[in-house]
Amino acid sequence: MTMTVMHDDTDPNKVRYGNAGEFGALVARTQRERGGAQDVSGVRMPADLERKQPDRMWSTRRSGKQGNTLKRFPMVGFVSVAVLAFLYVPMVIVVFFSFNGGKQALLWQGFSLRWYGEVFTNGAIINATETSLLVAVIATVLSTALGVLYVLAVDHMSRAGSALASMLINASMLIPEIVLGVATMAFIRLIGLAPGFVPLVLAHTTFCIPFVVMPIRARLATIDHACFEAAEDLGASGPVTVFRVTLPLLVPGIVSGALMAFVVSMDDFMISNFLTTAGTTTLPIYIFSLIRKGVNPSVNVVASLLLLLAVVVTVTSTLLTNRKSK
Amino acid sequence: MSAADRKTGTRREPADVPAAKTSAWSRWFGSSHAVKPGMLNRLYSLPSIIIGLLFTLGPIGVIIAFSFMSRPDMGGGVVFRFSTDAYEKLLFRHDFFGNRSFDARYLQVFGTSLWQALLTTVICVALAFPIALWMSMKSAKIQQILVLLVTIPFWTNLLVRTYAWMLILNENGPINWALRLLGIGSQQMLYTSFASVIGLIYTFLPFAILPMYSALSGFDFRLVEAAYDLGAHKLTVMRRVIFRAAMPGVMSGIALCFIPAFGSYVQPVLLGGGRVLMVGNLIASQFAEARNWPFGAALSTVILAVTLLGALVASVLGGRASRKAGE
Amino acid sequence: MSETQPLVARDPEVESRESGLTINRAFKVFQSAEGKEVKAINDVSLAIRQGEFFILLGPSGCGKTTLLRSIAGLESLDAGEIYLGDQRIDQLPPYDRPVNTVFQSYALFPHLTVAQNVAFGLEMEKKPKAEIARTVQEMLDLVHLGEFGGRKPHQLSGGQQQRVALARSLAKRPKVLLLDESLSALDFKLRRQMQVELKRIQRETGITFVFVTHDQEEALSMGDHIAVFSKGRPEQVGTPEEIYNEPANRFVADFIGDINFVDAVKSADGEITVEGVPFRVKQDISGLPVGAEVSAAIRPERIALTAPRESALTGTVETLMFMGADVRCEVRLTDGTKLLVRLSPPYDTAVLHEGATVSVEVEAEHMRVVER
Repeated sequence: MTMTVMHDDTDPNKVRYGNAGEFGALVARTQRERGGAQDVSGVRMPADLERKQPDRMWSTRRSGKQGNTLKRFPMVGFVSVAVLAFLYVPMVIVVFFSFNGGKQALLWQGFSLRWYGEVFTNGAIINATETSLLVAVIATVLSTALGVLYVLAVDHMSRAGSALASMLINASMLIPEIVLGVATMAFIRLIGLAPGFVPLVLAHTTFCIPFVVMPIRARLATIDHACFEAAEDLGASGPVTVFRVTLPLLVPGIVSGALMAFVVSMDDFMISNFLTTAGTTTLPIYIFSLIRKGVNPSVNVVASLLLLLAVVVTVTSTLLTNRKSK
Repeated sequence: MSAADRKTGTRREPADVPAAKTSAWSRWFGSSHAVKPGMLNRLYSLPSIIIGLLFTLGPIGVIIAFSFMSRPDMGGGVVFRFSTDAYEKLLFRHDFFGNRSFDARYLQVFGTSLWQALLTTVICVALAFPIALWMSMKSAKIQQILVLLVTIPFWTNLLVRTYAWMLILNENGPINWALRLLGIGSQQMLYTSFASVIGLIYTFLPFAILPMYSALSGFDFRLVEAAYDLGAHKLTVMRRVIFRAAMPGVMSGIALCFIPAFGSYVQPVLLGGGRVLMVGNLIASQFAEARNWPFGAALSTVILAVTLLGALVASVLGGRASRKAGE
Repeated sequence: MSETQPLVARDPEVESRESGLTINRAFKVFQSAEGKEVKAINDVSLAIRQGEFFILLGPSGCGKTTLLRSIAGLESLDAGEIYLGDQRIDQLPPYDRPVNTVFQSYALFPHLTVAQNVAFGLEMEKKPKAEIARTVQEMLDLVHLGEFGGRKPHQLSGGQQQRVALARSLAKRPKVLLLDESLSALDFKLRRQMQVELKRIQRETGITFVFVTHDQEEALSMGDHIAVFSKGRPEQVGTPEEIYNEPANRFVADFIGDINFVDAVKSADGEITVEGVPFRVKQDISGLPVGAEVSAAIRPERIALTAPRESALTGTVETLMFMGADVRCEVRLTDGTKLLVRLSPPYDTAVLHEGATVSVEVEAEHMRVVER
């Protein structure tokens, strides 16, 4: 947006400056032109601007002179990089050893994909993976659907009502997993359900819902609610507005939430542990039983694959939330 | 005005202005009829609430109830007979003759878990603070990448992350390999409390970094420059300006680290060898081999109470910190 | 002023018009954050003619936007009715009213193209595809954006977005178009251009426009009739000339343009005295008792400054500023009141220079009597 020429009757507060740098340049030019003139009509400058040096750009970057600030805390950078390394080196080591050609998990005997081959033909692992996937997909679908309905229903509740509701929804995050695991098992027993597929899916759905609700809520906050009013104004009744306007605009948040629910469900161990039977072993449970006895080359491979899953999901989710921020 | 009124040009009698309609119901749950444009009726939140109630509050209620029940003679489960035996067992033991004496063993278990959780939390927060600070001072683009890098471990399976340390600390693992090269000889690092704590720290570090980063990323660092311009000493600035702003994030980080660490199961069992009794595997065993459901329930209830208390404290302190940070 | 002017601009023609918008005794009360009751709309009655450009003008918080949203159906009224012609519309939801809104933030649907945005309302009416396409193109041409159908809103400038919002609302051929401070986000030059555009479009389509603004210059230049709002009710409803030249009270006089207020006293029927100088005013002040303390409101351009003479208001020239098209002058009267005077050059520097004593001449018929 180009600078506008200020007329004498223009209220400076109402003129839009498209570019902060241009504003500084305008001030500089005006100051030079007016020099020390006693005439004060026309351009009125905010008082604090008078004191600023004319040719310094008015920076809008809030990180400040980062070089300067960081120089005063030299350790910070070093520690940070070390911490990041600490986070990633173990995973790198696992991936490294997943390509181990030898029979033992840790004795490096050359690069090979044999263990990948092993894993992909291992019946038990495949079964467990299938179970995990099935549970995760169903739990994702259910929790996403319920989560979307929840966010749209809660948006216009009063503060007390929505605080109550959100407490119920987020309860599963406040309770230590071990407690939730045994408690769910006890609960299932009490109401007469046998541990198995159905309670497993339901429990997964429950703890997935908060993870779905969060990104959808965040996305909703970025949307101009006047759009919904505009839709109704143009003739769309309530449900039509939801389908034609709200949901399409929420899609990035919904997808992001679904991805998170999927990962959370795939990852779950504690709660599934207490709800499974011989017939419904999920992948994490199977892995646990394997590594309980020690390191295992197949586990190296499965671990690397799960790491890959986490990377894919995180990157996709980030791209989604950062792309359509208009 | 009706058509008749308009023709004669008279005005109707003024209607009394109705008082604003605020019944208790509508104050609690918003307006009782109007749905905001683009939104759904409040009732659509019911399915989520119901399943939330059912599979979180329900189980919790049951477990608390079970803690007051009796143990059957054989096998697991409970007998619906009121009893506080389970809670007694926490603190007392009965010997063969029926004498009651103080039993510190379970308190020790709590103590061990508490100690490990506190250690984990302190180290995580201490490490998270510089990295959150460092991240929040980078340019926006780099910040996005860094957040991504911190979030990936967050979403990686807990077992996988724990397993990684099983690999590393193993007798034949890289560290011992290096130690042997250096002539020090291999150390027993796995199946120790040390390994368990390392695993806990590794697991919960992202939980500490992200909220702190979140709190600091909204911070205007020109305030820091302003403080320096006014001649403030380095440490003072750190303490008063930056720390204050990061406080809400620190509180969140502490809560997010401590609560799960206290009740952790995987790390103590896999990395700690399961030999040291901690809260997590103690509870698990009550529902498995030991078959003492009420006792397991009592342990769970106590854990629950402790963690909820911790969460409450954290949220109060966090709320106070956010208000102070805003000043 | 002790008497209240009639608030409804009653016009016998309105009754016979098909689609005049009538608001009758509207009330809306909000609960403020502290729990107090705020009357956002306080007994408002308006009659808006079909096909006119009607302006709701006032400072922020005066209720004009709330009233506009009530007409649209986005807010409900606590009491009162709204009629479109003979049809009562205040009980209808917004999607059933033949009224459309252009929002301050434009509220274009970000996930749809410009053409899809404009087509939205028509799709709601379930019109056939060919007809929709034709109308969309027609509307885009009307706002001079004929080639922009395929773009997305975020690819357009503010002014272009605003025109798309306009086209979108007009596509449904509403009986009334509501505009909520639609021009306030535009920069100065663009704003002037859009003001002309809006008038043109309104004339061409013949739709009743109800336009909310806080900019009195905008209101004066665009409106057929203006309602000046303060604290939830209209202080005056009239044509721009009426509002400017015959403000009903102090608020209106002060809000519109520059004005001078001078203490005066009613000295006789039809006459007020300012600093001992009598003026026969055209305005009907028979309702005031003799001796009532009033204010004389005088527009700066209605004041002439001459060489001092007797039996006239005298003052001293304090500042004199050459503004190009006119000269702005501040004169202090003997009783201390400061007057702002606008003169057209050329002027006699012998008479008018800083520090000079001058006579202040006002034509009595240009004096408005308002409350103190």
